[in-house]
Amino acid sequence: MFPIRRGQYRHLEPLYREVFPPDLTKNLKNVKTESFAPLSRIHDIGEGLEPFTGTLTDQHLAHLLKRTRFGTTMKEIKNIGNKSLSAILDEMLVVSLNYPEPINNYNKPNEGKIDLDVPLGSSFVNAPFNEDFEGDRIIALKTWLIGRILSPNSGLQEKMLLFWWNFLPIKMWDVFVSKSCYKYITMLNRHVFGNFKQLIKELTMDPAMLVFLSGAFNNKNTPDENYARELQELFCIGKGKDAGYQEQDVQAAAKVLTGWTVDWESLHTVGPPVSYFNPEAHHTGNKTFSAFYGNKVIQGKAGEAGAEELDELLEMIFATNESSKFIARKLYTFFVAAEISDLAEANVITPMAAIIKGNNYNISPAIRALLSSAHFYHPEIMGSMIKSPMDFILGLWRNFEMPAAENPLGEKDFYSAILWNMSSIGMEVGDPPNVAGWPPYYQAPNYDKIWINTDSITKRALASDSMIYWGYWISSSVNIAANLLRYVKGFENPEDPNSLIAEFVLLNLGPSLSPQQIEMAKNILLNGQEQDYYWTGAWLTHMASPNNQSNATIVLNRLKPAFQLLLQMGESQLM
Amino acid sequence: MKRRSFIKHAAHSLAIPSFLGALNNQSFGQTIDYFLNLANETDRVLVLIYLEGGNDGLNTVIPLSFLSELNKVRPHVVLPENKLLTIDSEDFALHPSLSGFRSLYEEGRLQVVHSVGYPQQSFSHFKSTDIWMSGSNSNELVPSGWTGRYLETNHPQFPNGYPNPENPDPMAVEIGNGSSMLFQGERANFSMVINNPNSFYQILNNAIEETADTIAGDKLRYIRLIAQQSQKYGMIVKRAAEKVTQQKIYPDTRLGNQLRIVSRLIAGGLKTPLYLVRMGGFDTHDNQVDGGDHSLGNHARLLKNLSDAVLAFMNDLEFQGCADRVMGMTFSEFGRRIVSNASMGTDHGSSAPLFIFGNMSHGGSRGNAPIITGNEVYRDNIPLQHDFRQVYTSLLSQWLDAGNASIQSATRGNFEQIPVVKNAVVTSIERDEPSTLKLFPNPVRDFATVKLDVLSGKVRIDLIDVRGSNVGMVFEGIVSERQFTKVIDLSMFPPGKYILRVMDGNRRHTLHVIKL
Repeated sequence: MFPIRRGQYRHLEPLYREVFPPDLTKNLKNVKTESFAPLSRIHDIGEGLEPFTGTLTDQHLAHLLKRTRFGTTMKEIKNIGNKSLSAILDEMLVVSLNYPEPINNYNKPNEGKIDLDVPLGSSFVNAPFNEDFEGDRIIALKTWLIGRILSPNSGLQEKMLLFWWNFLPIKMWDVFVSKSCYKYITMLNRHVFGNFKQLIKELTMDPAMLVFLSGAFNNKNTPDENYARELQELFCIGKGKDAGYQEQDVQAAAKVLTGWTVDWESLHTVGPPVSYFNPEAHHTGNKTFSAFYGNKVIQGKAGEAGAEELDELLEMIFATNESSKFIARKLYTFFVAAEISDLAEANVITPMAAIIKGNNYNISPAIRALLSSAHFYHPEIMGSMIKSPMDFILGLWRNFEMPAAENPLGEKDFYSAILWNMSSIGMEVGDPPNVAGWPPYYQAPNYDKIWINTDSITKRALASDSMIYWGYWISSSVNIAANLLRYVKGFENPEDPNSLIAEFVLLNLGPSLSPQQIEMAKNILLNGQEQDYYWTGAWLTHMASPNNQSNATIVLNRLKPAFQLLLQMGESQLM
Repeated sequence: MKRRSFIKHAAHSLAIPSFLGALNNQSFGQTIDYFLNLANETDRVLVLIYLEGGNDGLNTVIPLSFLSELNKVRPHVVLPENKLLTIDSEDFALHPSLSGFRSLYEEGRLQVVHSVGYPQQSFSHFKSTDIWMSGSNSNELVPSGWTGRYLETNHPQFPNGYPNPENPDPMAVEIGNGSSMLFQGERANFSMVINNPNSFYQILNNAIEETADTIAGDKLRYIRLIAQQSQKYGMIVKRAAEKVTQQKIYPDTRLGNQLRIVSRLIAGGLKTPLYLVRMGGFDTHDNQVDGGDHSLGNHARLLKNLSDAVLAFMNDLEFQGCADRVMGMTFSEFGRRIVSNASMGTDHGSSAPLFIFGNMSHGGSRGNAPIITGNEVYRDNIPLQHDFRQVYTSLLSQWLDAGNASIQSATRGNFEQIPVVKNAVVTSIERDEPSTLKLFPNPVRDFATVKLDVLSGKVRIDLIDVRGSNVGMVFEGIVSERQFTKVIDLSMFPPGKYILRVMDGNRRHTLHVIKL
């Protein structure tokens, strides 16, 4: 049974991919950054990991929800409104793995395309590799991931899945074997709030990762250092100033990892993909590491015992001071701010790393500490992160309670437009541009500003416009728009234009607005009049007889342009 | 005597303006040729001024024949007779604040259209604004704007592939908060929105609004800069505006500042046909007038702002050399009640006068000043004389040269036109008797019959194309009988729109011809 290498089926991608995500970093040099003051303010935040002791206002709750989910809703804010931060986090940090498996929802009988290995509506995660259907299955998988985020039970674990994917990535199109991709997802799922060390161990043996970073082809005769390098540079140690691993360590680690490979037959037959340790391919000599690892020598072992060298390697890596700091920094840059100041390094990262190490790399106590810290709720931090395309599009989708696919059979068709829409503005679910993840999460000095360019900002505005104004085209014939009347009914005081705008801003915009900006939106709601009661009257008239189309239209004709205006403000790009 | 219009409107009006009131003394031949050329060489602009809140028509254009009745039914707001701005030979006067409008009226550059509205008046600001913006019936729900649909008929693909060489400029520009319904088509929005005059000057100066000195503020500054750069029409607008280095003085009011920008964009060569500007505050339930002197107070200030800003706009357009291709129209969602209230104000009403202005405005007044009996009660309203869609139809047809399809799409029906543009289709040089020129069949395939009552003996018939060029003489000769009838041969002319010009001695008669 033949092996399947990374990128082997790249020629098939264009058959399935409607949009190739733009390279956001391409024109970065043309963007003048010097006119922008360096983020001096971030260096002034003295607050650290100590618990936040202030009052939790709606502002704080919205901040917590937006950073830990994709957008938020009034309902979600109300649900946690009367709870303590500790109780809120208790609920957030529970893993729920009861998602049904992705299914064949991709047959196209009118094109004669019917997957004979997988009956319509059945799971494809154990189906044999079939190059004619892998592209369809990958898209089914990507839309299944979107469906998870848009499902009512979606929560922090979905955000964590993105965190891990961005941090320890595979590119689905490069792996191309859908069941390997699915297995990778289930592995991340099991450890979303779990043990980092265990996750790295399973990642090392993961069939998708073994292909993506070519570990499967790393053997004693033809070493391949790809995974051994990223294991240290991108996954466990990083490139911080104290990261002192050497080229020698990359080579030695590569030797330790020889022998781990994919059971190619498992890909081509029914059943889950399997990886295993092949003693024949293992380098049995001793592996000597640099002073960074205390000149550690891993004794070469022959036979099945060679597999144990991996544990020793991970023990050695995780014994350094860098690993816990590295994962702490990763969590910080994903949830708090892309840039880490010296003060944050001292007051947030260092104590977080201590918690991580103290809990033997169980990360949930550190996440809990971070999300309840004074630093996380600092006014400078709240509303200061540029939304990723997933945060923006899926966040609006969730916020407006836009419809979800009725059942898994409809998922692929329903969510494809969203998938390609997000792709067109720089983020394709399941395919970060490279092994370092999406550049806005790591690329200095622009970081999250990289999400925004003249093309993406226009498309973002078009997307928000479509949802509230024209309808969002999910296929050439189906167009759906937010039900703004139902949406606004969920607000605290929709009849009060000031409160209505404030709640919309709370949910959808990052920083607060200036009085002039609020006045502009209010002006639309009031039809240019000065008295608030004109809106109140219109709203109450509508509420008194909700079935009267004319009254409903009057309200809608004000809500639409007011929301359009608010979403076209730069503040709506922030969270 | 009241000025009347002697214009005959063909079904497919070509909107060829004929002469300026101000140029009455010029030889007619010169003016018509000038304007026939103008019609094609220049780009017409229509500026819509929305008076938010419902302007009190009865205190804007005051029926002079019913002053005592007005005193009876609206004692709290009625204007003092000695302050009214009267106009020679007219039975209505203008509000004391509208001195600018009066001079425009006297120059024939401003038209008063009496009692404009729609059947089954809605007294809700919201609903009635939607009706005016969408061009719908009172009982309909139409989510797009009349100008939006007009533009959409002509640009069905917009915004895909726009801007392009044929349409380099924004389809519409509006200054105000967010986009109004006016420029919403059924599939796209056609306007470039300039949120406020400030944001226009920011585009001009590559400046962006100040942001807070915070992390979020830093990101926001970046996002705003990129957003500004991404505005497709931003550079185009900037380039147009930069061509204009000098403007006449405008009053520093909300409307003045908006019109100043509009003039600058027009003068800078923007081919945008439609602009919307707005001014608020017309919802004068309370304190519409000053207790001591009804000619002062809130409404007086509003009308002064309006009149001053429009006058400054017209002067500036004249200075910029583009006054002849700009028309303006004011509108408001409704007028106000006939009977005033005890809070020195007036409540929501129905029909009201509107103003159309510009060098090419037809001028004069249309319809009659409203009749007040003195017996009106609170619920009584001013009867409708002109449906607002008649005004839209007339402006689209006569000014923007819109085809039937786009007019019907915009107004969602067929509405009788009223003359709003100084028009070439004047049927008698005496201007007091209608022309007898007739042509049938029209549209014409090969031959048609011309009929005309002639005075002199010498008759000459020419065919003029839409550029204003004489494409051929079809008849010349001495006619002896008073009833002139002639079959003319048009078979050699290519299909299209023409003007048939019949010279009867020095009298000129014109008629639109469609050649099949």
